[in-house]
Amino acid sequence: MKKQWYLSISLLVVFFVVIYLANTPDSSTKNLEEGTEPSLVQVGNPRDGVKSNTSSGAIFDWIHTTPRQPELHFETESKTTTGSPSPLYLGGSYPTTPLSEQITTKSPQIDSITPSIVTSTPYEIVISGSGFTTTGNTVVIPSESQSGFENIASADGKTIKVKLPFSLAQKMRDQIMAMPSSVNKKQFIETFLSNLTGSTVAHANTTTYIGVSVSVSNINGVSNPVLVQVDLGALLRE
Amino acid sequence: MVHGIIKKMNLTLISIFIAILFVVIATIIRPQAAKAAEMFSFGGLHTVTLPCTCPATASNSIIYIFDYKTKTPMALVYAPYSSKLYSQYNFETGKYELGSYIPGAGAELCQEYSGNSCIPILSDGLIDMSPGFGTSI
Repeated sequence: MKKQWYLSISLLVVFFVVIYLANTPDSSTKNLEEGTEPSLVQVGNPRDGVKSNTSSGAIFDWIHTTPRQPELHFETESKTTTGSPSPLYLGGSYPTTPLSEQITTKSPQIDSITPSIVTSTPYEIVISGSGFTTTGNTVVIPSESQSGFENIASADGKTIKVKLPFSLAQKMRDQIMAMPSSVNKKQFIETFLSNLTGSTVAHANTTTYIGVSVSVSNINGVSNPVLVQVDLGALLRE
Repeated sequence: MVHGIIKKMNLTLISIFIAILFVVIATIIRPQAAKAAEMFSFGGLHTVTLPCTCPATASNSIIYIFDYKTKTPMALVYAPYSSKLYSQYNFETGKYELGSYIPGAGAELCQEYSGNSCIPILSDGLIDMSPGFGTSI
């Protein structure tokens, strides 16, 4: 009889050990609990000309990505690039061909975007400039999903047309629509607009503008960013 | 003699059965504990900020971030005593920020004063402390 009790007690001890082990946090969680601060990984900025290696072709890699190898960019004063480094840049002998002949491609450049103020969504904007490739241009708008902005064609190499969705306006509309029916929504929109703050926000007369950065990326590089002003007041009052 | 052996066997079987039962319960508890500790992360461009103007939530604000994980804009509540802020100890529009949040926890944490009443603003969650959020820029 005593033996059976010893056996039962032993099994109970095993059970408690299993319970303890089952509820022990993983090592990563434990580190957080002990106060070890996780390092923050900076999200890539398209303005830095960082290209993605992801299979989806997205401009931004996500957290915990491995450091990317720096790409070689050789820029001249006219913002043009060569396809491969010449011996001059690598410290070798002086190239026999003139530099102008080595320059084979030109990085994209945005001169203007029309219209400069967007008052409804989705709104077609025309990006004018130079250095756009016939296919394979990506319009980079950091505040929008990249889908729909990839592999954009430019027949003349000088203009690109895309539709700007400005998804933030839809988000704000959803928040306003979720309010109780007793709320005067027209009045609330005016309060909401006037309370928005930030370096991207500009209040003017009866409306509020949000600056949206637009740039073009293709195989030859990344263009200068140009701001498009979105009339948020017009979008929310729609 | 035989009766004694059967009795011993029964006790042994019952003990083993109880132990197996406890182990099964432990394996059920384990995934639930892991789920409770699950962290929701976000990261992307901080596009605009909405300060919460009602007295009860005056120190809080909603930050609108285009989240590159979900590829959608998110409205997250920043509350100084509930949200941990990392270096550079600031959050500004136009910066890329990274952090964690508790979904659905910020429902009444941001209210806007409009007309004569305080109106709660719907959000996607409350920025929390595990690990919090911040920017390295």
